[in-house]
Amino acid sequence: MMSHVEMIMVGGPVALLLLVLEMVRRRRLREDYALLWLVTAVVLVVLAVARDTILVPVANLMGIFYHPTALFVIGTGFMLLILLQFSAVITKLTQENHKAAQHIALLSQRVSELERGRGAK
Amino acid sequence: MAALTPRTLVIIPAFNEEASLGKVLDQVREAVPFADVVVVNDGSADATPLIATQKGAYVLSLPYNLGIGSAMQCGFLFAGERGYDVAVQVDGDGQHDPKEIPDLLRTLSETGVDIVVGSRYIEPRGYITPWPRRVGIVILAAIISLVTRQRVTDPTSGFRASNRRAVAFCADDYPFDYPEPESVVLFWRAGLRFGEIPVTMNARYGGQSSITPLRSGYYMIKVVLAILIGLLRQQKRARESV
Repeated sequence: MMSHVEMIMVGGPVALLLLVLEMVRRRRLREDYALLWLVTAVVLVVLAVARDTILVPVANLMGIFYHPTALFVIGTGFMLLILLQFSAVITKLTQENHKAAQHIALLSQRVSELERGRGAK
Repeated sequence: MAALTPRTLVIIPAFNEEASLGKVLDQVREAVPFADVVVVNDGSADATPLIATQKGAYVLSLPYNLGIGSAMQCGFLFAGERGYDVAVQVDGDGQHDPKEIPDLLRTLSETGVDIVVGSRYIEPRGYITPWPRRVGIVILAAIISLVTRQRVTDPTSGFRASNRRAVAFCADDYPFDYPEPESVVLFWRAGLRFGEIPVTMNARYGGQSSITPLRSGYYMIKVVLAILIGLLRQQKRARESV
């Protein structure tokens, strides 16, 4: 019989995994951004299911006596990675956005010159 | 190979500068009648683009506010695209005196540097800087002088003239925000030579400084961080001039 905490340990990541897969299927989430989420969910599911063979030894290695806490710590680590990926993606989008905006400004000046030239002749 | 009169572009970044822009444009025309002028309208909500058009300047209207760095870069892209020999940047708020543009141009052609910066602090000319800002500028100047091994007195000055080589470099790589101090270090790393000449700066005619007291702390941290982390970065050298 599973305890409550073990049901959460397994059920949470499984639900996350299904949600991410469904979002990718519906094209609500791009595969490249889904990758870290999928890795996170799979790692957490594996750790939770293989409690005695993997999670407890890993927790002991980390010096954590209550093994659900190890799962929590590992999950937090992955979350930080995902957040860092967000910041990197936002940075890239900002740069591209600025380039596009500059391009629009240059083009619209050019267009207004062309229009004026045609109007004058 | 140098032409008699270098094709010169004056770049004026402007964000809601309707109060001062007309006067600045008139003064620029009077000081350097041979130069073309482009106003980079950084998403202004006021009559800035209208005034610029009426005064016969080119207008680059950014669809929304990008900040001074990206706005300036847009002007450099324009200068590069149209093959200007020299680009001069002048603030739209009336802080810089267009009458001194010829001094910048002369220094650029005579000394052979790639960028000439107009400095408020080489000799006293009655410009009063509030002391907290002065302290900040002195700290930045010290850091940048140390890094570049060259005396820099006014790294925050946005009153500058750049030759083709520097224009091409800035069009390619210019800091997005609070760009002036960081760009001096970028120039040095790119192998561009820069020099300063004394200029007089006025109190702004109108509008608001982009640097409020609250933002100064952020300004200092961002700029110092950008300079120091930038030193760890692989730096492209500027292309040799053609």
